[in-house]
Amino acid sequence: MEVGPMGIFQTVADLLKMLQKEDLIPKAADRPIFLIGPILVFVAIFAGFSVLPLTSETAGAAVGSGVFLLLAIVSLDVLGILMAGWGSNNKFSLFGAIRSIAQIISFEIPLGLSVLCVVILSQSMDLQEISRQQGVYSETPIYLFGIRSSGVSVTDLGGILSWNVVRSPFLIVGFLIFFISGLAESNRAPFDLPESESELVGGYHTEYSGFRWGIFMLAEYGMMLLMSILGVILFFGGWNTPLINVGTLRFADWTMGVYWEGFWLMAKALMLVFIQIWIRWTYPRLRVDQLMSLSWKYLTPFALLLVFLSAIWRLLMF
Amino acid sequence: MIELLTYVFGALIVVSGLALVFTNNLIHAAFLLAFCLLNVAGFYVIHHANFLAIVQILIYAGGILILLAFGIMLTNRSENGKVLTKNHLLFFGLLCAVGMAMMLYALITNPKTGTIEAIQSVEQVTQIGMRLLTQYILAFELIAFLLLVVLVGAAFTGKKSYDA
Repeated sequence: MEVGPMGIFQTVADLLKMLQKEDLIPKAADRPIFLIGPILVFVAIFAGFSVLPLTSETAGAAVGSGVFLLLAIVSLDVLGILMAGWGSNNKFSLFGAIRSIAQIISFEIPLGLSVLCVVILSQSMDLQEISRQQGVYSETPIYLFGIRSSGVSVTDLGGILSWNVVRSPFLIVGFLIFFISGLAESNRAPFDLPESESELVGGYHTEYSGFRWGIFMLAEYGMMLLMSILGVILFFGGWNTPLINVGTLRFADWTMGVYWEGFWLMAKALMLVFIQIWIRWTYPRLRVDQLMSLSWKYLTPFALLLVFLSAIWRLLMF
Repeated sequence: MIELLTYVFGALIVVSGLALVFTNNLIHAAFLLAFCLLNVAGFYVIHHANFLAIVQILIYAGGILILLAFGIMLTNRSENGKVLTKNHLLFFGLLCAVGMAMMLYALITNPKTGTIEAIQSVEQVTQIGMRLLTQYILAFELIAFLLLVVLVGAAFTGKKSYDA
């Protein structure tokens, strides 16, 4: 039962269906809070998109501290979840909200630290500047694996060799920490404890129906896309092409330009979204205590170590 | 434009602040406080203090307020599902408010304090970083140390006591 060829219109059909449904408000709910909750979640996550650079010429708000602003605004979605969980006046909702907040606050720390590694290495919080440094448009010379003493300059080769994960290879661990924390931030499996249907019915959105429920669902997918695009910009070259200039075959120069750049960014980001969905259907859900020990005992110490390493790498190699 | 926005945000701050003081519903008060703090962040943005605005959102609205609301959520509700509060300590509250107002008045009328010309956005972060690690290094390190002590203290207090 899918709409369109290979079911590609299914989401649209689902949304149209949800728009027509009645907007139910439980009698015992705290009415204003119940109504505002989903809107706040939506605003917080979609405001995060406002600072993303899509190509070298098209960018959102040119905020000097873009990545910082993004993390700050996205952290506000907790407030919306709190409103939804409390306003529903339902024990499943409240437990879902409590779990969700504990999880998001804990995982914000490794997330922030892994972002900080990239900020230290590129000496900028401007996402457009971070993207520009990872390709043929870079104003500073790029050396192979960031090692200046090797003398192998890859600035005009461009492509994958100038991405942050290749420039400073230990950032691959940083990306793993970023990716795991990003999964937890968007409440995706294996971190979907806040809405685990086998224990909590639906978690913080148990009482919602129709369009307001749809906002929660779409905000989750919006968060996945936002985290993927941010990950691509920070670690995998943003809108830069993965192809390398080989002698007279200028693959990197040929595949740059406004349309190509937009294509590369979205292709890489959708690849990460695919991995997130793949993980959801592969791994079982974590227990609450496992979740907390993962964040505080494993990810945070490793992320701190990486921040230290990035500072040293920056001093020695650049 | 800036003037208009100043009045809009100012009005929102005043309204949400007053509503926050006069409501009896504790969780409504917490969310009104969040709204008030976000409006203060808006105030910073229109006066080109972008970094300060982001810090305001991250620390007050995103951090402290969530802890506050989290605390309220874990308290018991009354039968009708609300956590209600009343006005206590009116005398000391009034004293604090009057003292604060006098201090603010003294600050505004003092000719020595005024707006310093705004440093533009990209420079802002660099400038703040430079000053924190040179001019204000002692205060910066002391705050870092204090936070570490608080963290260890919190972990120790939160630990289950086995000898009790």
